[in-house]
Amino acid sequence: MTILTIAKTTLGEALRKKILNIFLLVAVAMIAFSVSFAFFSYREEITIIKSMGLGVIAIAGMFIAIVLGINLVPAEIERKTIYTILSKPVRRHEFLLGKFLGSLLTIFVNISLMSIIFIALVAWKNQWHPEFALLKGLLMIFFQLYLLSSVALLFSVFTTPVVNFFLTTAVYIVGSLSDITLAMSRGEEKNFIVKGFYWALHNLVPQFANFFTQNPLIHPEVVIRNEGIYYAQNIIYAIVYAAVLLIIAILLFERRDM
Amino acid sequence: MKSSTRIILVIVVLALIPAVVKLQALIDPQRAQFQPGKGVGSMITQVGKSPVILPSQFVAGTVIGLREVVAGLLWVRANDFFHSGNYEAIVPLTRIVTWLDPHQIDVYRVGAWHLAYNFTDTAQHADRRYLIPAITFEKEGVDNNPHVSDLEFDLGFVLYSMKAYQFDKALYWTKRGASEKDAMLPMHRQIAHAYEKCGRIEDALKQWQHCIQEGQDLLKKDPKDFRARDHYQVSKRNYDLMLVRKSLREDLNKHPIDVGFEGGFKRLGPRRFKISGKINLPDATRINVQLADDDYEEHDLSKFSWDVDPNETALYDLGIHGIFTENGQFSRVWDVTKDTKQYPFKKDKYTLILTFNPRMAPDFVQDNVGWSGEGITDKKYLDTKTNPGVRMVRKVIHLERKDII
Amino acid sequence: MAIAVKTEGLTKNYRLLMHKDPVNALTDLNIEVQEGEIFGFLGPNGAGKTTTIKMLLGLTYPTSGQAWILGKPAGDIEVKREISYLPESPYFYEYMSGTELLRFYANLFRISGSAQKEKIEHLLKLVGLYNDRYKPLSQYSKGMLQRIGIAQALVNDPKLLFFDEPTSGLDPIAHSEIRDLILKLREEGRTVFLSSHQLSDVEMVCDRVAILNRGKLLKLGHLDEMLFGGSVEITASGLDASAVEKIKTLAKSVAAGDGLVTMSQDEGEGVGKVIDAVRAANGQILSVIPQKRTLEGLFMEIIREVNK
Repeated sequence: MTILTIAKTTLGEALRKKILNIFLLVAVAMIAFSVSFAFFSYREEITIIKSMGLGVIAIAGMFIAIVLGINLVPAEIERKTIYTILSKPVRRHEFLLGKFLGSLLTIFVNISLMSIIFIALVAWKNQWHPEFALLKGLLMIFFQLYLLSSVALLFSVFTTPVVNFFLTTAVYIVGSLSDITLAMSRGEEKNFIVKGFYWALHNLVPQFANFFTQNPLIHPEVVIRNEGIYYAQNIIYAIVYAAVLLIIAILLFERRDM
Repeated sequence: MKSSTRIILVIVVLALIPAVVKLQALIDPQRAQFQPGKGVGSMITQVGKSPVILPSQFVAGTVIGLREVVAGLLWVRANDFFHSGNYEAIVPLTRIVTWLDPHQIDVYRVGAWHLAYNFTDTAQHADRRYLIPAITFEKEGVDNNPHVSDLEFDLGFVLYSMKAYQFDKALYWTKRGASEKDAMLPMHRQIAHAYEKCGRIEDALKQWQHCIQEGQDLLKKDPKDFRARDHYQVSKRNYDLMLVRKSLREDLNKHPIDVGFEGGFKRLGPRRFKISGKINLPDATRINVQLADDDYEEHDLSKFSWDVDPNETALYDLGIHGIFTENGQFSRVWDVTKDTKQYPFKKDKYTLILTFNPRMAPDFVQDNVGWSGEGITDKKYLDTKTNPGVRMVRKVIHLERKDII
Repeated sequence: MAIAVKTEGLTKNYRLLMHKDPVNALTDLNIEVQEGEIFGFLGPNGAGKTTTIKMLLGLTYPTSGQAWILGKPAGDIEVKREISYLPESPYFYEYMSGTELLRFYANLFRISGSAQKEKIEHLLKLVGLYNDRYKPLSQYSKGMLQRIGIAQALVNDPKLLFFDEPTSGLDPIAHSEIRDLILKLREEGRTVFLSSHQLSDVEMVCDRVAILNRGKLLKLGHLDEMLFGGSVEITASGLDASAVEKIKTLAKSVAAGDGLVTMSQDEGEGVGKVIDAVRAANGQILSVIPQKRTLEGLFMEIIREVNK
């Protein structure tokens, strides 16, 4: 109940944040704009619309998640609203989880709005036959941002928003280089320190590239083997990894002086 | 928070970390299976002789999972170049786009087409040196996108049949394309044409019969299916025509015509020359011209490269680009003074090959010579070895640089 | 009388990067606040007042020492149901209206349904914001924000309230309204822990005060005793010049004029001696009035003493 109360407040505040609404508007405009590219073939047109749509939603979602996440706790401390909450019978972990849930709900709302426009556009191009398979990609984007939000939340417990922005972005970039970190962690010719370093990067930094499933959705002939298992594994990965980060955040937050 | 709770939470975290590592190990091979860009190689590729790293302005997009978006936007740009006629700029873009997203089928098709058709001289003849890169590029597309009928069919029809005139390979790829799930009906008909080009008349007839039956079966399911109706009608007509032709050409081999082929080269000035001759065949018979370095070879590349040898010369005018005869004579003047890049003529020795290939001739000529030249002979230049199974006329003339420049 | 707030050796040091020595925000604070009293907590900026309150509320952890709120350790989650806090210059969620804000806090106390509705209505009327209940807080003036802050502090009917500068930035009328409110709270049996710079307000409402400076407790006691523990003024008539001269040796100061003699002496035995001397000289005692200091005066005196 307490967590929900705080989550609702976080959602209410976030939905009114100007910068997030600007991201949302720009994203919707870019998705709509993709229809204006004229190509020779229908397949090329639909390819660009789907590429742009999924890409824009992913990038806009990333910015929204980061901007939301970096301010989750610091803003409350700076404005002292946290004092009026934590002086009430609210446990610190309830506060933190409430903020996290609120940011997730905000991301969900934003992604949903962009997705509706995107799916409608693709349907329009398909003579009004909606392609609900695209929802799979949007689901992956949501869970990717779920994980990213937990990273931002963890950093927000002990760093300033500016430092957090760079840290979280850096984690996102490193986590997107899964192919490279995996390749570098293998191979006989490298010494074990190098391999160990890349192994740590690959396994201990959240791997956001797991969630890049745009290609099979854009190109129907590309198929993910055992697709259901792949999606399930990714969702579990996001939930478990986020749980680890949230627990660490709670442990740090418990001992933090306000 | 009680210290016991804190300890429990720490234990939970420590227990979940190996679970995360294990999950990642399960996800990695599956991810590698479908995602474009493999390892460090996703940023580096081999183009020509040296490795090339993805230009830095595209790296930013690729690292945050926007390969497809960057590829899409670059392709939009490439289309602008197409509209403005800046063809040379398109090929590098097709390489980068397919490098970013190897599933961009239309980019492979258009890229291959540009390479094969759009590097031209002032008289709009495509640069033969780019044909193999075109084929290699399209093959790369097939390798990255197996079971896509478009790519396979294009390789067969657009490249091997219409450009390379290698009909056996054209047949192979046409059949492959037509066998895919997404193949369109006209591809099935094209198999019959490809058989015909290979001189496999009985197989061609069988294929027409198959197409007729196919059309009928589809029409039974849906009598309003206009594509099925079209398929049936065209197939039926072509089958009937082929039967007629078959009977018309049956006895051509009994009295082969001596075509009395003759052909010659005359220098008119620096980089200007005339090729002319005679052949005793109906008007609009096409004489193929191949003027290339003595040592010119069309070799397969193992990996795509658009680095053609700038010192190589290959002037090929084949098929409908060949010299058309009129009243048994043929003659054409080439002026390549402005096309020094496409025809460098740097080497010392050249070979000019003039041919008449019945398999490349139009129907009305084949009606006189047969599908495989069974109705012709020539005292001096008959050739049955270059294309086994085909009786063609072939004359080779050796030239030196001074004869051209 | 039960104890509402108790601290024992409460200390807070901050270790900052690049600093050799820790910053001593609070050192060895020992105070007790009785239930039902208004307790003033004074000190200049940086004295450690807000640090103390945060430790009492469990927002900050002490370096050493202990604190209890209503008999339970500070920070205990259950005790927070009985207390409330109004921070200095509070900021609330701007997009919310007054009603929505109180609803938010009521939900945190699990007050719901009709009980919540009634409570919110009552509180809004109490702080005079009932007519503005649907306005977003972004349109509230500073005084209105302070009042909604007080309202949120009363949502749970707290036994103990912590007010940090409740009258900061308010006009005199608002000051007076808040003072009256604080007094009313005491009448209702609640305890108020009041941290403030507004010494005039503290003087008017507090029962006891503690004065801090640089993290240390300098003075603690009943306000009356602290302010009235000074000198006594004695006015007499019918004294001749020799009597006046004699009294000058017994009194701190003597002023004569218009047949009246005004004498001043520190509280204690000395006063009695002066009165006896007047009577012995056949003078008439007209008045004996203990002299009250202002809290500001006392405060400045203490701080200056320490800074010496």
